[in-house]
Amino acid sequence: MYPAAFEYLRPRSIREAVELLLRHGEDAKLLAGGQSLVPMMKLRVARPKYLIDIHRIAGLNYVREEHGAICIGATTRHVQIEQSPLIRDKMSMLAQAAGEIGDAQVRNRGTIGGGLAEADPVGDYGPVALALDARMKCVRPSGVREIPASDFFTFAYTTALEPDEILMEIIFPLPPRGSAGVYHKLEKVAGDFAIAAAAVQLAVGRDGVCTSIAIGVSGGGPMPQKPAAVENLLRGKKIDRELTEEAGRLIQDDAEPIEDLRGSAAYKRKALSAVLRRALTESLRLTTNNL
Amino acid sequence: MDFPINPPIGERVRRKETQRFVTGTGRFVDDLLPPGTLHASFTRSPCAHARINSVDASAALTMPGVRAVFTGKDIADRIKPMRVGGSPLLRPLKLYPLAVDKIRYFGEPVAVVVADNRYLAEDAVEAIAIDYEPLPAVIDPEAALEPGATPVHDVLGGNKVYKFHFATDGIDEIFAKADVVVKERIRSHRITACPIEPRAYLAHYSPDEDSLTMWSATANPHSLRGRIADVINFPEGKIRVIAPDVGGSFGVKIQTYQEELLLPFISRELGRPIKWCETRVEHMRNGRHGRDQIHYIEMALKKDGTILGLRDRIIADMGSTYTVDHSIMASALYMTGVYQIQNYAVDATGVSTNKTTHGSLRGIGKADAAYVIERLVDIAARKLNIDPIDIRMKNFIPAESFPYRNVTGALYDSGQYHLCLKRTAEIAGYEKLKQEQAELRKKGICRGIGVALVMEPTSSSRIHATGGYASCRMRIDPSGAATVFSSMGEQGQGHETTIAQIVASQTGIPFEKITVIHGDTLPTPYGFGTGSSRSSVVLMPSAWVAAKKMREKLVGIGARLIGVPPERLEIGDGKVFAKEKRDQAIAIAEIIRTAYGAIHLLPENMEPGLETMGTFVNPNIDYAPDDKGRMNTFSSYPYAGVIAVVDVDVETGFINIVRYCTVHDCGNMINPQIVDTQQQGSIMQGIGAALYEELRYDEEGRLLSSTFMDYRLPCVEEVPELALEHIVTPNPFTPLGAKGAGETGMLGPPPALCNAVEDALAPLGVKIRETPLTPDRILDLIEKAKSSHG
Repeated sequence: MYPAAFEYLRPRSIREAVELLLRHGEDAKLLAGGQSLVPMMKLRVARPKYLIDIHRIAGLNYVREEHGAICIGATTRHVQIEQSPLIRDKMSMLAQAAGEIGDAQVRNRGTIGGGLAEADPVGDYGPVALALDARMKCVRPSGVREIPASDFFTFAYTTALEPDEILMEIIFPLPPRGSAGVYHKLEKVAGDFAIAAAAVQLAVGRDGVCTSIAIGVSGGGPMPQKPAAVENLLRGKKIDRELTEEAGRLIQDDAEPIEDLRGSAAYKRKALSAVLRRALTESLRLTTNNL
Repeated sequence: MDFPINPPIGERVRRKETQRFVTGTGRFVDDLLPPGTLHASFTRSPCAHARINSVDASAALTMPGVRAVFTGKDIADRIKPMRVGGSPLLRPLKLYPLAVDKIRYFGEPVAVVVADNRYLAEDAVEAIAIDYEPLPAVIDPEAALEPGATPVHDVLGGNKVYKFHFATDGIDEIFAKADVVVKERIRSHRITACPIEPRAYLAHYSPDEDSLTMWSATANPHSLRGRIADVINFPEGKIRVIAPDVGGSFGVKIQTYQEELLLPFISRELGRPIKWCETRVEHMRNGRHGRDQIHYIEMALKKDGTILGLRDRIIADMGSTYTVDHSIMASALYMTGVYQIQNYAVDATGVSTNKTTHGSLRGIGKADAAYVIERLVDIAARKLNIDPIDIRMKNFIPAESFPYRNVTGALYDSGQYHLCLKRTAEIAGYEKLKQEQAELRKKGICRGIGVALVMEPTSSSRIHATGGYASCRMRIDPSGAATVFSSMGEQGQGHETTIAQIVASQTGIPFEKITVIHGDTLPTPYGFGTGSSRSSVVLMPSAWVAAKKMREKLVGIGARLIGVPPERLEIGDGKVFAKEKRDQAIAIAEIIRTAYGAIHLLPENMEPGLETMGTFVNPNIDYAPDDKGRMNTFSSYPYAGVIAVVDVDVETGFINIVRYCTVHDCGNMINPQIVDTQQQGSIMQGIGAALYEELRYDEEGRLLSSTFMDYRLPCVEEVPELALEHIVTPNPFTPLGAKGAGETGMLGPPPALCNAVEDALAPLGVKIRETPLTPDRILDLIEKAKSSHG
């Protein structure tokens, strides 16, 4: 648990951070909450020559509502998201997901930007960001751009971020009024990474017909996914037990999970089906209560 | 029996140790840094089995801050090999602190770098070039026994390293005539204890004094001192071993390790203090592992559930550089558990494989035995359609048979198994649970009820292992405060508190004024380490003996001073007084002054000062087997009844422990609060073993579960609703009536939870024979059962 030697750099602004990143390129790593990077450095799996600590840059830590979206600064900590009254009120699924990350120590230090950029295949923010069509606002020397969540995750631990690019803000469009969101995670023990997880934001009309559906899942492959086929299956239909079962079968058939100590691929397929069906059932119950 | 257990013995006194631990002021090895300390780091084998062709440290030696590098070849002719000990049945083997010509397990130390700090040492470790010639890894213990299997140790030729056989007459006829024979293969899986502090050592040879001080996170300081003396050929009298605060042992720190014997050698070579604190990854790979036994076991029964006999074949995976046989021996000797089984045969084989060394771990061997027999009894009950409580009640050793000689010669001190399980059923609401289960089944909820009664042999003694006694020396200072020097250290057991309770009870010195010194070989009397739950069986009685002698001295002086015979005197309220006439009294302070200063007033032939020594010999132990091979190697037998209630999620395979009820009996309790917390922690460790934890190796023998990411421990959120009660059946062989109290908790969850899960899934016909009960394993069993039914 002794990292290789590195140089610690502490930029005071995003601009300075971008410059440092440009200068040191692949030799540098950004440090936010350090909850994944630091353990990997201690195991010498990650060996950056330069560590650019962005978590002290002022103005990257906030949660605010703007233009029909909730905007969250990249170094906002999990605990702040978990406890934000705004998020709990308008996007409870996100608060729920943040509250399921690691243990209290991890949530006190870890950040949303760090978690997303780390892109663990079963990280907790991925499914929520995909379900809600979040956009990643990023900055690089050539300017600012927004990456849609659906383009952001490219493989396990890999994102669309360029080597000189920094994730600044995550924009979560507000879900439709009356819809309800549920994040359901299957974990071996509390604080573990998910075996499989599903984020579901659902609205139904008085007739029980699905008026809006948004889903994100993890555990079905090397990165979180937005299962469009399942969304299409449910949209405009009355969500009943039979349809839920069908959704479960569909996600299970399409999944290509990675086998590891948390379970075999065959098991994870079934686990994914179960969490999706449970998230659907629970969000249906909540949205029906909202009517 | 009458036991002299006056307050504060038996009270829930707050632990003296708690304050420094919760305020972060404990002092562990890693807190120590003598001036001039150099830091060690080890090059560890990336493979499990290989020949070492060459080790090239030339590049490492040129790196910044590097002071020295030692390889196996550098040390092999300069230090003596470690002892593979404890049993004449183990095949002897030479073990050096660093691998010399062959790698035998993944992570084995091959070379050591000494540098100015740990970071530089780690950097240099990466620069050591080692040429390995890979050999086939021997991972499966049964395959290891096949003819032609690659030997782990060339000198031994094969992998069978231990053999034990025991059989009563006529066992085969018993099985031939039985109504029913239940036959199973049951395996206990490999786990480790995970103390919060991994191993940590600091060796300091002082050239000026020609003496060595070794700070070690050890549970066995006096034994370690002797082993260092032996291995580095240095006078034992010039070695001082100090175990400062130690963050848990659970057995893994009672044994001596390769690195632990190497550091003193290096310190002597370089004349500087050498420090090494183990990382968690190193600990998972190199700390002692436990369990990992395969049992081919069969039980002969009558139709009514009466057990007639038991026959077992054990294959125990002892890992590579096996050092003790306690695990396999305890399993073989205690397989009959809490039952009246006088017909028994066992064939036990210890196998060497390319896995980490097997050794002590809370419940060593005894946990495997309790697990297997409690599973088998349940399986038999299901086959015979008898309630799992009824079959146990039918076969328990009755309370009036104690002390009870079991079939292998063990003499169980005392027990009330019928009462214990009856009470467990009461607090669990067993009859109501069964009704609820039936109703829930109609709704498709798979609820299971698991029963077990586990017995834990504690306080072992073996020839040449010095666990047969413990000692306390005590002194009352002229100021009236007392200091007790204990032969056994502590790693969380609360000895500082319980010893003070005993001394306060005997001598009238206030609890707050009693300090307990332990873990340091210089001031403390010689003794074996803290393990096998022996402190309440031998150490506490030794404190009682020392304090009793002190009491006699105080009363003797008081008798002389006030002219009342000692037998009519009592101690209380800081005075020695006459029982019949309380105003005939003298202050203890006055007696102390007399003992130290006014020695002309002492009774004739009494020595001045107030120092006493108490030693207590482990009672109820046979050191040699009788002509039939029977022997008693443990001296006390605590036990616990368990009823676990679980719900199994048939869609995900997840197990939810609805309730865990247990009734525990460790005889008289010196501090019930400490016993409760021992039980709680121990139960959680057992739940971890049953549900979550497993050391898994890949086919090449690399340990896959090397971090807490891959070896998940239960945390506070996994704690179930826990009902814990005690019944008290005193141990008649000790003056305090106490039995061991550290391990029984851990034995309950594996059988109780397996029995509960099997019960929950009984309508599907699911059989549990492998653990841990991970969701994927459970779901797999459910689906297989469904498809074979469907």
